[in-house]
Amino acid sequence: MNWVKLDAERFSDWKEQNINGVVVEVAASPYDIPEAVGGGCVETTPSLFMVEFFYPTQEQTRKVQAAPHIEVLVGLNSHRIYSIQTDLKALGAFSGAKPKPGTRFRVEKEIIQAIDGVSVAQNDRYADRYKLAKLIIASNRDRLFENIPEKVHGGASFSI
Amino acid sequence: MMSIRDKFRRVHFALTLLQGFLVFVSAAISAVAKLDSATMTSPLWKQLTIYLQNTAWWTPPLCILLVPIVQYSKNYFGQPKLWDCIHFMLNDFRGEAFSEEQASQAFHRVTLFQHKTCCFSIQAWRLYKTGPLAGWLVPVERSGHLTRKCKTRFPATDAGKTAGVAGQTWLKNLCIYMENLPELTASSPDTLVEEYAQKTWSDPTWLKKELAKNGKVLPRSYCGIPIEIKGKPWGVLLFDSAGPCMLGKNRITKGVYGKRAILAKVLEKV
Repeated sequence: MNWVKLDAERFSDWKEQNINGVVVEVAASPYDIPEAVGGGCVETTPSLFMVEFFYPTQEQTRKVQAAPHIEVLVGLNSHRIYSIQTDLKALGAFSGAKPKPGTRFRVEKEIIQAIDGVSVAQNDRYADRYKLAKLIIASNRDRLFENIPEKVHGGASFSI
Repeated sequence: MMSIRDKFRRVHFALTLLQGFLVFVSAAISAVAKLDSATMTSPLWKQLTIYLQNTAWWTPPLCILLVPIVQYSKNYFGQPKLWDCIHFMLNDFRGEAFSEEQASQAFHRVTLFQHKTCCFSIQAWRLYKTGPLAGWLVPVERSGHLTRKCKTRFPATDAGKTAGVAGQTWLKNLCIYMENLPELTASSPDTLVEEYAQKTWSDPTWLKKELAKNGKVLPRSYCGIPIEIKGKPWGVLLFDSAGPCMLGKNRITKGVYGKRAILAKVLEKV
């Protein structure tokens, strides 16, 4: 798993908002911003690729099946996304033992769609938190999806 | 709550000694109950032994029963060392948020509000027309050593009824910052007081009462930060300043972001 330590201030922009007729500046709760984000294949099952968020406080989570091949862990209390697990084999990301071209992009797209699905399922009540999760993934995609080879170089094969 | 807890600390040690004494007395009486008073030569010890043996059926159980009651009263206000730690952290946040020029502790403060189900303030019930068990934000700790006799309570009900900057921070679960609020004095016109009340989601009647207090200065800028434990909202950290604007709201968030995990961990134990 490749872990990236996050600078909380980078994701805590102040913006204006009207609250009951009063214009104030608001920013995300410090507990909504993860301390780190990690991406990589699960050690015991390399065909499973996971993106994980490490928050300042931990809580119990519940599994949400966002798609047949994607499982999302969501906080019971905060409804934050703790991890997104993708089955690369079920996704059809490989042609035999070799990854298909554009696998990284496809996995990332599936993960973003899974997050959108979770958000819609909750009537967008926590839309800001899920938007932040997508932003964090997009900002660190190179590092997170590093372990998924984009293309296979001559003669090499990726074994699962 | 803060001033009561401050006074309670003085008896906390005495209560610990009382617990130990109760356990000792219970064990001693249980041991005396097994003695044979007929073999004693000293009349004083014989009489004392007989007396203790006659009361041995209720005194040890009573002592044992009192031990958890004393422990509960010790725990009600939380461990003093934990609150010392929280107070230290609030002082640290204050030091990071406010510059050296703004040194007065009474005018630049950090207050920790905890969300509690019940509130024992008739004044607050009447002011906000909210029941005692509806949900309230109660100040439980503050930076510095001044303005600790704080009686402010804000409603924070399940239905979304709130008041004040702390209340809105709780409701929205977002950091909220506002500045350049009107400077109020006891002789300020009603229109200015109402403007302040509208901008801070407060009650103008309550503001006038506060201003009437000798030497009371109302803050002109606020920054509220939601605090949570294990994914659940716990309370609000409120920065307030008599200055028209806090020199760096980013300094506030930077300071809090760096210690948010530690703060949550300590508050878990309270």
